[in-house]
Amino acid sequence: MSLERTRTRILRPIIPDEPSGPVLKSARVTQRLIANVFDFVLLFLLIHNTMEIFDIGKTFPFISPRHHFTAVTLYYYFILTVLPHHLFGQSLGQFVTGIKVVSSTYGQLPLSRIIIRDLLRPLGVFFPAAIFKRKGKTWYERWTKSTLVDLS
Amino acid sequence: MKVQLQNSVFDRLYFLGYHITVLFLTLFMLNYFSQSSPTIFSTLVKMTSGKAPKNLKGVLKERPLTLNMIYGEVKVFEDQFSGSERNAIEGEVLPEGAAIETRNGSVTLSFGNGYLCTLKLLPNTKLRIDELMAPKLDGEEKTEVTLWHLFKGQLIAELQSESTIIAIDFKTKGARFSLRPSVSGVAVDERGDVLLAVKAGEVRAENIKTLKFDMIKAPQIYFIDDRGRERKIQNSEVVNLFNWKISKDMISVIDFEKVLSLTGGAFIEPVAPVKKGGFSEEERAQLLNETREEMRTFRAYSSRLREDILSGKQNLEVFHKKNEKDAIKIRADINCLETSKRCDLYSEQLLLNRGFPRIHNSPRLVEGIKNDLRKYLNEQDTKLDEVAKEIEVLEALEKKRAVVFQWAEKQAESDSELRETLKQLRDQNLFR
Repeated sequence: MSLERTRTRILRPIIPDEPSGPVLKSARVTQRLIANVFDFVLLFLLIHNTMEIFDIGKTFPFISPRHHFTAVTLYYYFILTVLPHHLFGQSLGQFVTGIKVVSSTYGQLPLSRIIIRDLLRPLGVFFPAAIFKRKGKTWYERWTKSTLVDLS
Repeated sequence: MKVQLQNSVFDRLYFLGYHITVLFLTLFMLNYFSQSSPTIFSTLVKMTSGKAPKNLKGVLKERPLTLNMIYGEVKVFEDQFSGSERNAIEGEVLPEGAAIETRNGSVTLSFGNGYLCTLKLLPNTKLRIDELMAPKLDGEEKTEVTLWHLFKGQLIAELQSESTIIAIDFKTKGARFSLRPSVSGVAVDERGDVLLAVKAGEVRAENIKTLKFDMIKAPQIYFIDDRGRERKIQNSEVVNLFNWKISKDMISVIDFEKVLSLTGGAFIEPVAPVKKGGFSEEERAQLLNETREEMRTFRAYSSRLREDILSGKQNLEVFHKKNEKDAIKIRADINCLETSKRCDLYSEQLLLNRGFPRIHNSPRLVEGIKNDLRKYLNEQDTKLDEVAKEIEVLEALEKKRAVVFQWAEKQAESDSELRETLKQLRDQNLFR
């Protein structure tokens, strides 16, 4: 009996802050997909063209040449996804499709959880939200207690 | 804290404004520090197109070495310490310290001022860029020297320069040498034996650790080493072993054993020491002056003679008869020049004095004069032969004429008509 209990606890963690306000429509799969594709294509273009055209070693001589790609990727990822999520709750792709990142109580998501969410988000390519979801939430949304809502 | 779920117009403008300013600031920062393009506008053009516009010369100046694929698979090691390797990309820029290994393919590296210098790497070649293009000002002359480490394989180096003095230094397992503007092929064995073939131009060896390698030259190519000695190994068969035009169909890897058999079983061909003749410095200087004057007068005389003959002032036959002694003298001079020690000394001194503009022209000059004179004498001989033939013909005709005349006189004794015709011919001086 004790073993079964522990198993259920691990599989179904208790979420303390349940939604108390009005229940909003969660974002559709197509909206999520379009937003993600938009964001990653933009990121790819910016990173690729920056690496192609600019001499990163001249601008930042303290960065080793083997870390140029990582540095440029992290920079663009921070200014185009993490910071806009913190300030507006939306990245450019999400702005276009009209969806917003909120906490499970429809409040503002703290920066720490935004960072974790955005770091886990690229893994959604391998574990897509359409398949790995429960109660309308994907795995990384459940872990960071966040959700995407449709504004329309 | 509840989030505002509906965006107002102000929120949307704020959102878009944030993205525009952040992107512009990033571009400005990158543009300002890397200084690759003059304006943000051109940077935007580049960012959207992904390629540098053609009018941006600054971008080209910053690219010291470009790699162009010919065919096949080529690996690039960006750092000599990390073992990370990747496939080479067409038109990529290689940094210092990068190593290239051609396995199944071959590649061209273009570098230098105006990209006039190229290195063509054949399959199974490994090359590292040790030091790349450091232009220095030596007085008024601008020199560009690059240093490469050739581990194994073979390459064809085509070096040209317009204004600067260009040289590439090669370092191998056992030797170090440099190539000046030339078309030359270098092959390195895994043991460290080096084979250098020069098709055109000049090669100069400096700081050679071990003379394990052979300098092989095509005819009329001169190799000068740092001691001012001149080598001449005319083995065109070895030069032809190199694959001068690289193509996928023609891959010839140099067989070192074949080279050994061609050069007589050794890479090191003994160099004949220069005859110094045991002269003191004063004697040497005096002899040099004498030989220089001799050469000058000899050259002036031969050129004047040639001009006179060509312009028609001198009649060849008359000249030949009158100046037979001179011709003999010239022949003697040629023989003397061929054998005399002075000539050796003269060329040696010229090699030692680097002030002379064209050092290796002195033997060529002598050969040129010799050839001119030989040609002139041959022409004379042929003309004389022609004259002799004409004389022979004339003599034969006169003999025939005499025979005919005798026969006619005999016939005229009995024939009155013939007698009259002979009289007429004598009056016209047609018969003697």
